[in-house]
Amino acid sequence: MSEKENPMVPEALLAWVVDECRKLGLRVSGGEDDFFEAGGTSLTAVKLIDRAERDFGDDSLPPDELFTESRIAEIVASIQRNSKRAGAVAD
Amino acid sequence: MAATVDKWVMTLKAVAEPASTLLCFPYAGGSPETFRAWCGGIADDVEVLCVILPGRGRRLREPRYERWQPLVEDVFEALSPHLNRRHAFYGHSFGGRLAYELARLASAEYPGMTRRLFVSGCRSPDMPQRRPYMYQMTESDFRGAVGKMGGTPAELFEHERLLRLLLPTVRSEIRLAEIWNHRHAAAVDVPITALYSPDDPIESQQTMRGWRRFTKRHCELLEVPGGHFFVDSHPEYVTEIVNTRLGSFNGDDRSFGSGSGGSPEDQRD
Repeated sequence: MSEKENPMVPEALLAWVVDECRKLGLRVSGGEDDFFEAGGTSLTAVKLIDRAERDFGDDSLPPDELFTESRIAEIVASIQRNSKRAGAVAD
Repeated sequence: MAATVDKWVMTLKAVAEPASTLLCFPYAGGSPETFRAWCGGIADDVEVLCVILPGRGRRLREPRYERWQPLVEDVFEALSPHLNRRHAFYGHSFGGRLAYELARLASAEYPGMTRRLFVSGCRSPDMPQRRPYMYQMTESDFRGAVGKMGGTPAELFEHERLLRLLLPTVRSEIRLAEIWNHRHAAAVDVPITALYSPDDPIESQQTMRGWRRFTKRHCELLEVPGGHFFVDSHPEYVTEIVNTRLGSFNGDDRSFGSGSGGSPEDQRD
């Protein structure tokens, strides 16, 4: 998954989130999975937020949204919403 | 791991027809991952569930409990679907206090089903709480004290926004632990296994030996290595103790005490 691709395409973004969660050791397979049920913690949340900001710009995944809307599909929606708002397209 | 509907209970290890259910209560601000990490070491026929309180994980934005009584009542109600079959409680530190309160209610309401209470890194109800109270500290003192306790990943302290989001729950649960002074007159009708670490700067053999006064049954006090957060750092010691104690689920309670995984200090009143 490259940040050079358009991050606004939901399918690509879904694949990005699933991939990053797996790299963090979470048992995630698709949009219906829940970040915390899959093993997410405060620490993995920090790491996912860092990676989202690295690829999609500052504030692209606000912590309070990740914690309260923690299904993978909701995380995708949050990044979409917030990276748009920040006007940040990776690189 | 698809999202489930029950916001109070996370299933960490599912078993089709469990011989028993282990209900787990994390420390203040803790996460179910402590107990998930145990699951590989827990006996096959034991189901493992973790209680999720408001203010934690995806319940982050829900109002936290300021008082013990409504907290205990609501957790008891949320757990009721799991209490009419054989079960045991495991709680660490703040979670140990909560587990004790739940064991009291459960053993009265579902006689014979609460097979054991495990309390770890958790002083007995008759011990005064430590001073100064962390919950009354200024934000910077509080952060320093939390950092000193260990258990919080260092990376978290570099994320101001996340700390602001997460620390209020830690403080609120530490407050509940610090204002806890429940000295229920009646001892619980549940055997107690109490675990402490000699390297723990917060709890010790001295602060935990009083647990024997809070059960009508057997109480054992076991030592494990690892400091206050031995549930995270030394899971293999804890799971072995849990397994050998839950192994007596189908028999009576005389069969343990063989010293597996710790050095038992049997205490009978």
